Amino acid sequence: MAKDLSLVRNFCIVAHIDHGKSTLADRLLEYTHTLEKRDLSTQTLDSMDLERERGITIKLSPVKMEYILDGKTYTLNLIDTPGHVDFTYEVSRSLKACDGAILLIDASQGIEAQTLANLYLAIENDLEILPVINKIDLPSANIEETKKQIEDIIGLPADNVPCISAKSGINIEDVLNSVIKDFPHPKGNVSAPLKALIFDSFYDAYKGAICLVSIKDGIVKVGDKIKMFETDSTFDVTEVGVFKPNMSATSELSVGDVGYIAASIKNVREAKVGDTITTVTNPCLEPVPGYKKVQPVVFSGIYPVEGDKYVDLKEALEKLQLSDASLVYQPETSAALGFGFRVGFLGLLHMEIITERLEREFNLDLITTSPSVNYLVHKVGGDILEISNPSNLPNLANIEYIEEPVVNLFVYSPPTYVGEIMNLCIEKRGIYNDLVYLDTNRVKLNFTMPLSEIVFDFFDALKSRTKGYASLEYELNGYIKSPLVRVDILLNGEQCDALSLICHRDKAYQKSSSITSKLKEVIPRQMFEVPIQAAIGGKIIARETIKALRKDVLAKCYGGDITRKRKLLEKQKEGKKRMRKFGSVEIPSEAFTSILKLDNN
Amino acid sequence: MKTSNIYIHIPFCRQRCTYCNFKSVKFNIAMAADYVTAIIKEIRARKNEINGSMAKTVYIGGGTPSILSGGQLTRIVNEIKKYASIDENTEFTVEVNPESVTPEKMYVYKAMGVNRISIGMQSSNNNVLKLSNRPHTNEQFLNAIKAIKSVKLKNLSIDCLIGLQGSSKEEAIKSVKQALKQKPKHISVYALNCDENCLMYSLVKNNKIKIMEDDEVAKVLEIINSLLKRKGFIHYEISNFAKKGFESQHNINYWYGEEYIGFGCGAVTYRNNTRSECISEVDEYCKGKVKYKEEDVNDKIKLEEKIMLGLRTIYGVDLTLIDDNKKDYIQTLVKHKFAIIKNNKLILTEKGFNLSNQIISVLM
Repeated sequence: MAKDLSLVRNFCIVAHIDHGKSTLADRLLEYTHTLEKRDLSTQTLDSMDLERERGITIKLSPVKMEYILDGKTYTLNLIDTPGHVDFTYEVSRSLKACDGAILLIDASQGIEAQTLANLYLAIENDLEILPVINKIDLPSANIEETKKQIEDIIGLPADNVPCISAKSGINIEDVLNSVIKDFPHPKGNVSAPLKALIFDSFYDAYKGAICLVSIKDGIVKVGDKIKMFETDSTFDVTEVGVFKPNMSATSELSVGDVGYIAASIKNVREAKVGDTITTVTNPCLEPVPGYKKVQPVVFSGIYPVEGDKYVDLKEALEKLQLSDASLVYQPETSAALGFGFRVGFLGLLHMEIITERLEREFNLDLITTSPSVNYLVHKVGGDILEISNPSNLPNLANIEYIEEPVVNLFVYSPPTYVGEIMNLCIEKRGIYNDLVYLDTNRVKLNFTMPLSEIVFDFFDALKSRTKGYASLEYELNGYIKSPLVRVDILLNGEQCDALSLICHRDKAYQKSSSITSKLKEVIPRQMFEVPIQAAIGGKIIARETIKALRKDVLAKCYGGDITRKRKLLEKQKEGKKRMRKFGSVEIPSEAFTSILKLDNN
Repeated sequence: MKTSNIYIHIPFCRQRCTYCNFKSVKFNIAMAADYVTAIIKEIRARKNEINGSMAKTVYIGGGTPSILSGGQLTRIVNEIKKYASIDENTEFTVEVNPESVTPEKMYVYKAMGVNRISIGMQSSNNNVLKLSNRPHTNEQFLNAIKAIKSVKLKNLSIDCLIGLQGSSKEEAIKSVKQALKQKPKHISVYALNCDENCLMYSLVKNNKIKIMEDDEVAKVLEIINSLLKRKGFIHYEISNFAKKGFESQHNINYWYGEEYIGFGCGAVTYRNNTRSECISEVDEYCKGKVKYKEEDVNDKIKLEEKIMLGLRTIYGVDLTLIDDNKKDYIQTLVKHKFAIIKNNKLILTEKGFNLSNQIISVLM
């Protein structure tokens, strides 16, 4: 049966957290009768608990809907996108599967940074933009002001934008109608060789890695021998299908379709996001452009709170890696923490998500050490060492110089905030390159900046200094030589390797004193005085002292008290198990994590 | 002849002190009368637990036992005496509060065989007493002492409480000095624990009232410890001081892990590897509804308790009872003078007593 591509729309929703993306998605499912209202557990598309709790989307779930307009049945494929800068690449891949993007704006909040970051990505991917104003039934809704923002900031006419309430189901049809009228249909050739873009993948225990694909050309069906462009590996297709929103097998997927391919792929690593699938016998000549290898940029040590849980942690990481291709790890040991792993992440949010999943899904208690980027250490004599664990840094005497990764950073913002952005980027050791006016309302600033400055709190700082209007994008751009030093933390005179960190020489003093005072706060008083020192190469640069504990005693203990007092002490004993003993000092596992949060203070 | 250690609980108080976490109810005459009947019934029902024994110790505690009339207390004791022998070698203690001590009651106590009075002074400062809702003044305390002295009992013990609201280092030391002036053979010095079951807990937690900081309490305890030592008292348990030969036998019995039989609402019994607590509410108990909660004291618990209780006393704990992998820790304790080793026993020092929770929770 010949397929009429003009009856297909592939689109996504971009929005700031809390602006109602998931609620609108649910409503679209309901109005297209893909799911009935009673079947909608709140926010169906965010499948992981973690996503639902944080209100963010990590995994992308595409869904196929059908909608009748003017007597014609349209197929609407909604492709969900993650909303955080850590996942910029994933967003760009899923946008490649779309022809249009709904820009959802909260009528009471207006346009915010994240909305813009994803919007600009959408514009760069040549998507048609449909602004939709949501939450119009809130008392604080300001529809006129929001329309004005759409015209001023985005530069789109706002007269006819749908004004809706996803929550109360107001004007949802307007959205569906506009999607069909405003968005172009996908293009492609059904008789051309198969060209399918993998825009996401996940792991299924029975079917192996599942590729979420957008078919750009051709047809794929069960039994086809397919080939991955990037890895050159081949597989036999065992199942194809679409999401409605649950997986539902079909006989084939053809040009314009968005769905999934299962082919007994053992590992998500074989189904790389951004790669192109074609057939072995009749391959397409060019892949869908834009594939990038996903590289971890932040590394952190992960250790079980209780040392004997090392094997459990290992198994958990192995399992998690099956479903998260961006997760890399290798074993490491620490004098303070014992056996653990050095794990690479796409960014701090990714790191938080992984550690939370490990703790929640695998019931582990973890200690995470200070995140670090990858440094290149040029040793005296010419050897080059790549390190991501500060305690592996060789003696200063053996180091010629150290290089750190830098990024090419683009910040988009209304011109008003240029001064603030300049200040922030220079504070963060950025080197200013360029400023371009994209139009009267938008500038693009370009800096070269150390990656380590970006990964920690840059995004939050940028957001707060520009009242949410600026957005950013960056790509790794080699290494530069920097005056970096390792700050060691000594507890009771002994160096605690898990607390060491690498930072710029000029920031070492300030950083050291905030770390020592934070540690003083989080390490409980012990039976003796504990000095906390920060040192660079043996020279102490900051010091705090935890005073000795003087009283920890239960007064009365007679016949009627014995059971209760014993239980209190048993509880205290359990508490001690969660402490890491370092020399004679007991450190609560929170102490390690507390340092991570320093920058946010 | 087998021996027994008997505890009798009287759960009534005139009013509740702000720091108290014991089971006690406001005294009322009718309920007290019912209670006496009920406890006699309980003793009768459980008589075989003490029948034919020689009472080594009897302890009537509370609450405020002295709130009952001399006659009521005598009836209870007479019921005990039907089954267990009490003689002049029995250490027989009654806890009293100053406001309910009269010379008459003291005569009755003496006639009953009581030879030890433990009185709750807590503080010598009327303002501090008032802030804690103690039902007496310091003048009443001094009068009570006169009444107690008038019957010439063998042993007097005075309780002091350190760290109360409104107290200070000076006030606490002054209180202990006043206690010493009464020439007691025994003094208990308790550091205030603000337990979550007490009235002031939420007030303290929300900074509505201030009690002494832990560091300050520790400092005061150090001063008091050395003061009492100079006056010839032995610091034989974390909170207890006695002239030689006047250590509380009843309490030492607890700390050695020996058996004891308790009667009354809230009282605890430990015998045959079982600890059972009477958990009825007072009004239920008075109506004869007696419920017990039992705990099986197995070998593991027994060992933990031996370590916990032993380390709270100057008698220490046998090193053989402590796990071998704690050797390094014990060495550190000794090196830093938190403990000493004597006759193959680990004994905490004064410094160790103050941090005993830390130490016990590692060793047990």
